[in-house]
Amino acid sequence: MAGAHGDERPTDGQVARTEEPSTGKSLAKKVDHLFATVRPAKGEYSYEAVSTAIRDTGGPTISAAYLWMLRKGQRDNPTMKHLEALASFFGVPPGYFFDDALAERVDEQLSLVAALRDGDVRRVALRAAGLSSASLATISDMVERVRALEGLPEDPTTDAPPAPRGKRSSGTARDST
Amino acid sequence: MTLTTLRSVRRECKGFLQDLALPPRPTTDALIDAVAARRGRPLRLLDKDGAGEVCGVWISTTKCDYVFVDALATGLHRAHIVAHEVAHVAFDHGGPRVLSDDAVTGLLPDLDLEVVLKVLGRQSYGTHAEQQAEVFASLVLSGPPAPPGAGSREASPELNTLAHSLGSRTRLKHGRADVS
Repeated sequence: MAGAHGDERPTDGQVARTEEPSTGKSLAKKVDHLFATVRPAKGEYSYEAVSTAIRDTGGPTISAAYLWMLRKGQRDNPTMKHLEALASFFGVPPGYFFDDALAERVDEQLSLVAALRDGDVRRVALRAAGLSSASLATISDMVERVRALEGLPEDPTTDAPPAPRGKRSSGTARDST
Repeated sequence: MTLTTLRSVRRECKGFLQDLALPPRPTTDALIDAVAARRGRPLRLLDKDGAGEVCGVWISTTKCDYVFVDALATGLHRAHIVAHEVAHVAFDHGGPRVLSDDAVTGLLPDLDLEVVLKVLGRQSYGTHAEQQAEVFASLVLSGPPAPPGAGSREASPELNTLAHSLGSRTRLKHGRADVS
């Protein structure tokens, strides 16, 4: 449950987003992406839950309100310890926040996890000689095809246009029922 | 895989293959139809485009099972890949965890396993499932299953002889393999 949504929202007029000069996502966007993507099926972790979990695992004190401000771009000066704790909670390397190449790689991996969750995928059994980033793309493609076949919406966290439904399944797809 | 485990897995696979009542050397279509009917769940075979390390994949959703097979694989190779994946389906290896630890390590090297599992909310199955799938595929492609009641629950004489020569004092009994 994202119970903290809107509860402690400061005046929207004060929002001063700071976009980084690099081509990568801003800190706010990255934090937002982690909240939106790294979550169980029932919904996002609340700011309170993240704050509590970080504290309970011996991390620094980072309030729910501060997490909200980081996500909304109202704060962009967290300490290294804050970022490390946040990265740890969401299961990504701390470099996610600084290294755009790494962030891109991590985002691809997060996309697969989200697709598996959202596609109600119970199991992926692989027969592979080895697994690599190429395999990641292959598996992600398969999961997307399965979701398309079942008429589920595309992953809302990506900007990619919807795959042509049914096209790729024709010919080789067969229903045994 | 220990010899005892192999024999046990082989017995399970033979028994299951008999239950499917398939003709010897069944076609891929016949195998898929039989397993789908047996499970009461649709099972679809899809071609996997492009090259890569991944030969065959079974994706199971709440609605349907999908087996992906390399579009470039042909003949016996293709049949074996399909049979292996169909075995995962047939034995319902849809363990509680979506991705095996190996797959998580290989596909998601930068992510924390525990966090991934929380997001997916499921647990894992062991190597027994992989053994079952491989042995099942071999049996499907190796010829007709032994007729029912003809000692099919026993390990083959060759295996028992080999086990004996290797010092195993345990003869195979009917039941599940204990895999550590």
